[in-house]
Amino acid sequence: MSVGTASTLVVLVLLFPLIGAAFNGFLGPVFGRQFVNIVGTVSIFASFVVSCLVLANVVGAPAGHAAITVRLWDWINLGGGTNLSVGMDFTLDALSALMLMVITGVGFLIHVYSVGYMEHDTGFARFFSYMNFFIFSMLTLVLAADLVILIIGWALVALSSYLLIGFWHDRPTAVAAARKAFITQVIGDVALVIAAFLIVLNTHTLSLPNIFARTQAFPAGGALVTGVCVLLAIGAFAKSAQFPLHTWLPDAMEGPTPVSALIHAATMVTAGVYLIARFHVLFNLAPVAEGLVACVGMGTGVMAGIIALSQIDIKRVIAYSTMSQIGLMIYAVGIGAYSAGLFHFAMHAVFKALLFMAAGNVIHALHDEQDIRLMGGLHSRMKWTHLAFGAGSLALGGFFLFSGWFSKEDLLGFGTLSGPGAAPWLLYMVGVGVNVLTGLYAFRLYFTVFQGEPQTARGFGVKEPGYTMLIPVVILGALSVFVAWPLQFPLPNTIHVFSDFLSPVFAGSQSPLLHDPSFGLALVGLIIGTAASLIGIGMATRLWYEHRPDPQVVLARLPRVIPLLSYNKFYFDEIYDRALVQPVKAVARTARRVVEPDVMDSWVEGIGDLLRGFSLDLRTVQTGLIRDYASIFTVFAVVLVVVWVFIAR
Amino acid sequence: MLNPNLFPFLLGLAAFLFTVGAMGVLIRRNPIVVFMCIELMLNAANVALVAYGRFLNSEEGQIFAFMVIVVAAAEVVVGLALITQIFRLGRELDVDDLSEMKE
Amino acid sequence: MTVIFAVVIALAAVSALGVVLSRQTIYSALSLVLTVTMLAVLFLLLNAQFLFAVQLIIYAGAVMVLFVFIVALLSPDAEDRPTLDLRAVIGILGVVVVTALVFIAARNGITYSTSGFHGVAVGAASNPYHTFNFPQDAVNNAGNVQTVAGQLFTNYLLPFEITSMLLLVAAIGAVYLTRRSSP
Repeated sequence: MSVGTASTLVVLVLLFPLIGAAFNGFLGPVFGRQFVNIVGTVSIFASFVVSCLVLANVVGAPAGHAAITVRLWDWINLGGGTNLSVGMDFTLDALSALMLMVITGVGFLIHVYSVGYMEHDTGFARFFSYMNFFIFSMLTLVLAADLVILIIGWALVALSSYLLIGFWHDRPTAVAAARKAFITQVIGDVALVIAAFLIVLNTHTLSLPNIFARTQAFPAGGALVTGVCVLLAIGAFAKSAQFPLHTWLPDAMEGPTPVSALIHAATMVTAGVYLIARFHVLFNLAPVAEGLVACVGMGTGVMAGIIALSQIDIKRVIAYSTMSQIGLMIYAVGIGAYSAGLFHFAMHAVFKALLFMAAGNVIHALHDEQDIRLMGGLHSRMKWTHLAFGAGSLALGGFFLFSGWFSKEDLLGFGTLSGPGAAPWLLYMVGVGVNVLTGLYAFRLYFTVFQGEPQTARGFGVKEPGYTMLIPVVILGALSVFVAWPLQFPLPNTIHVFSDFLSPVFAGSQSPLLHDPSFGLALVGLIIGTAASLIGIGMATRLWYEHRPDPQVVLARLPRVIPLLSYNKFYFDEIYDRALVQPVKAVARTARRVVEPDVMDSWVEGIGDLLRGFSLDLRTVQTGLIRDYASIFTVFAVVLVVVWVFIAR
Repeated sequence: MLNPNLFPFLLGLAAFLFTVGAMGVLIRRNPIVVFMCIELMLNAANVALVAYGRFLNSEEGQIFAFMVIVVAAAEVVVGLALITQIFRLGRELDVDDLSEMKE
Repeated sequence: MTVIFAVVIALAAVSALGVVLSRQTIYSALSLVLTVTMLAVLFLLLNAQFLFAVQLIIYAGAVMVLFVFIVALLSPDAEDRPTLDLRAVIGILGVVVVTALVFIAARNGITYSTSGFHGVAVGAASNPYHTFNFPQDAVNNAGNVQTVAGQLFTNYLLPFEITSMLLLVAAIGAVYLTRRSSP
């Protein structure tokens, strides 16, 4: 496409959400609920239309000309001898197009859902304003072709998530969760900025295409590029809630359900995956960093899966599921299977958003009940939600021919040969284990919530929510069944529309960790992976379909350690609290009790005391006795005489 | 006839009378005595004036000293009237006691 | 001649000390009378005849009589020994320092000129008071009543009139201050 077209598309796709945010933020309370709803949803729909145009342009472009970077204007020109400048640079290529479609498409459906969900909330204008602003920030992040713009988008996304998680700001738990999320993100931000410094120092440019062209500045496998990639990875871990910066994601469920659907399923938490994919050129030069990423991703996948088995809050189960699936995506981009990881990202966005929204329907119907032990029997009473949730769960669990199956098996297929260290298949086996776990916790959730009998009186009287909350759920449910069929089949040389689409982006280099499996090996991997998923689903059926109602009773049969670790989230919050939070608080306490009174205040008060003492002493001169006053006169008179005699001579 | 070397002694007498009067103001507690010491100081000034008048051959010294005496007389009248009133009110005749100027 | 001066000066000094240091009020008053009389004699010796008369009549004759009357009327008690506190020390120091300084300064010849007062160190050989030597008959004229009156009623008329008003005010003030309030 031409520069002009590209510039226009970029400006439009960014402008619509920004204007929506501004309108709703400033004029929303004036014009009322209808106005806000329409502006909020139409703005994202408009962005979605533009995204479709972008996709059409990218797909229709002649080979080799699909990617284009446009500079809207020069922002900062440092001039001099440095030739550094910050420009509003944005890239439109296959990767951008994919991210745009997912963000605006799923985002639009979630906005529609929010119309119904936030119906009774008084802060609706603020909510849609924040949501639109989040979309804007996320789009800035994924379209950025300049390091500074990327960092700005990164930071704005963190800000938006803080605003949205803490939306119900009169709830102390929500505020604390927002703060926790933001602080964890900041750690990632710092790492990202330091990485940016190092990159600029060595490549002398801020523009991403230029950086990727000057890889000779980084000796392959050296400490410099490994350090940069590790720092980038830390930033990615913070955004994507991977170990060890994962503790904020479960707490973030304090926000409204649409927020969880948008931010913590489909978009923000995938920013880390995007970052590593975008910087693949650098990562390919640092196999150590890639290995680290792969291990952390798979490790988080397992850990989150274990924790999800024992949680009793419906949203938290889904949150840990997100953490686990993103772990798989991070693992994929770590070993170099970029298109597989991004394919799973796209599929996961669909069914995870669906699961969150369906969970929101359930919560809404049960009047804000979130404990799964108090749910049940909803399959006959909330038919559409039940169908959609079931479809989403099957996709999540990787059931044959659902979208999740395609993406997960594609991903794991690469894992058979590719991976860090001498035995890459080790991580692959862990991945298979994650498949089992996924099936287990997904269907534990499904059976506990929808099957069996209602556990509370309220459960008997539930009904489906309104259209705005139902239609997006149903649409996504249908998508989670069908959307993968034309795109990618997890065996080599079959259907690979998706990977072909993305291949120009990753054509430049290949990760040293990636080895394409042969057809036979891939088939074996496929069978093992599918079998693992089915085993997980089957075990879940057997355990929870019949042994309802208490979902904890199963875990209780295991050796005590496992349920304890699982339920307490491996004690990470407690560890962080002891190791990090308490020392900082102790320092603050010391500052308040010791430093401020004794050091700071003593100075200030000391001056006051000095003056007070001085004036008190001075007061004693006023005795009221004439003789004292006379003596002062005398003294000065004598002094005068002395002066006169000696000096005036 | 007059020895000019007398002049320092006259000034010294004036200074002596003045400072002795000042010391009296500081030491004594009876207001009448304090008053008398003030008169002593005024007289010391007169001595200095007359000495200068003599040695500069001018009558201005005498005239100034005359004014001083008149003012001193007026001041004594008013001051002693005040002291009499204080006595009549039953207060102590003690400058330390008459310390209404305290804050 | 010098002897008379010495005696007068000595007596004046001693009686001044007597004013300050006597414990009985009446002794202080009487010492003051003596001091004032000695000063009057000193004025006479210094060729200030008019002032000699004025001092004796007004100061020794009226003011001191008033003092003695008040002392007799009020009969104050004898004072305790004065305590040697800071004020006393200041006083004594003041006496010593100032008297010594003034005497020494005068000895070294502080001259007076029409352009202002400044001290000039004059060599010991020359007379430091060379300006003070004047012919005899001028001396005789400077102190007598005629000359004083001449100046008083011409150049210094304003102060003269004002001081007479001051006397009037003082008299009225004294009468007002000492009246008994009507019951």
